[in-house]
Amino acid sequence: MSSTEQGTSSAAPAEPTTAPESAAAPEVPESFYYVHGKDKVVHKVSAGALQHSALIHGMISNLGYTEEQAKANPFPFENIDGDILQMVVDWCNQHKGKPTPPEDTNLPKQKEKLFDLVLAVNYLEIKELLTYCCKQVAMMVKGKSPEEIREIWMIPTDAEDEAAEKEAKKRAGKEAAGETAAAAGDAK
Amino acid sequence: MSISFLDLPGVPMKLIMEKLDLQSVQCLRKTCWNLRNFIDDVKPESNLSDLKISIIEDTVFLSVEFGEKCRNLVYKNHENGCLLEFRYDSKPLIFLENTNNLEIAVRDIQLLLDSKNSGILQKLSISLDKKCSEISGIAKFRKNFLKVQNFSMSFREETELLDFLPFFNPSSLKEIRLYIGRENVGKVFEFSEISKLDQWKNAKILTLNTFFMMENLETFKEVTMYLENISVDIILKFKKVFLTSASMEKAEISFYNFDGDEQLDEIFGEPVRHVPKIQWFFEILEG
Repeated sequence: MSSTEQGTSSAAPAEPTTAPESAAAPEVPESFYYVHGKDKVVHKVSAGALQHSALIHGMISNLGYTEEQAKANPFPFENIDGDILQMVVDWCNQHKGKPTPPEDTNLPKQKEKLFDLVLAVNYLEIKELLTYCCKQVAMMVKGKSPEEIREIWMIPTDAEDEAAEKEAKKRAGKEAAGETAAAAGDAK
Repeated sequence: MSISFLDLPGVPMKLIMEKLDLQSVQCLRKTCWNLRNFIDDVKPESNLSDLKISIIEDTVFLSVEFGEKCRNLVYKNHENGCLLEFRYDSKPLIFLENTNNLEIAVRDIQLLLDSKNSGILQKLSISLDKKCSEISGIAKFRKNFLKVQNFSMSFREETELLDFLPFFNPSSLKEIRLYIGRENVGKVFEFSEISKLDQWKNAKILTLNTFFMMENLETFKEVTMYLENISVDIILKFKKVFLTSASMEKAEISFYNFDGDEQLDEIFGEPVRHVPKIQWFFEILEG
């Protein structure tokens, strides 16, 4: 992505967008940027909504894209699943320019999804959403015994972990021995 | 492949720990070596607010408050180990075989205090029936100064106070309460060492049930003494300190016995009598 001088882009034409119309300061045209995740589905998001993400906000400030450049160069987040990025974009849109409430109950209840969301939000540096997600994870732990936590989150015990490590080392040893033997065979 | 809890990076992991109560963090710590190392390393902050430690005849009593939640633990010495009792709680007794009750209690105290690094412990009270080096290590051997706002201790010698006071964060300590047992009533303490400490100089409120050299009181804003017997001499000294101190706003002596009423009339003149109060007013000279 090339850097150009600070863009004063105009608002994009009416297009299907996940961003609600900005209620504040309608006379100033809003800038839009584009992001995509692993599934390459491009999401159009307003600069106002993206302000929640310190990472994207920094990118926008540094790159200074014009509207056309922004459209042509969506920010790629290959490490984030499409559905997770959609969740993040939706959250940013919902909370655009608004003070964030003390709690957010619309987070995924499924632990895998929640962990993926934590990873994505941590990467994108969305402080408030990260706090909500972490609170949700913490609620899953509260009042549980170590055994219950292990079961819920599939955490191996020290003994299981040690056995798995030994097994992995054994496999690596075998593999290395195989490679040495193959190399010796080649040399002959 | 979906990620597991153990794959979460340090920042969210720390945030999660900070949203948990200390007991839940300890449960997490017991799950695996990975989390154990993380928790021991990061030492997540808890909302521990008050800690009272007392030892009476080899039994350790802990009163632990997390905001509005309070737990009372008793560590008793048993034939072959330690008997742990949760007082005012329906939890069953726990017997820890081949252990020493003092060691177990000290380990628990350290664990509690490990969760106070950036935050302030509002109250720390210590009452030991004899000098105990294990307990005195709880503040002394920490990497960082413990932030205590209100410290109270019953003591016999100044040296016992020196096991704790110098190891508190001087800017956090606001109130010091010192008590002596009945066996030391009447003993005059000089506090020559502790009065040199920044912790002493920075604290604002001092409460004690003994008399000591007044020269070391000037830095406090409020001083209260609970004394068995007072004399005119004590009152005059106290008055002098109060009138000359630049920072003192309130000085109070509560007492049981005083038989110098008439003498006071002679020295201070006729008081203003508003029953049950008898008041004398003195001018504070500028400068």
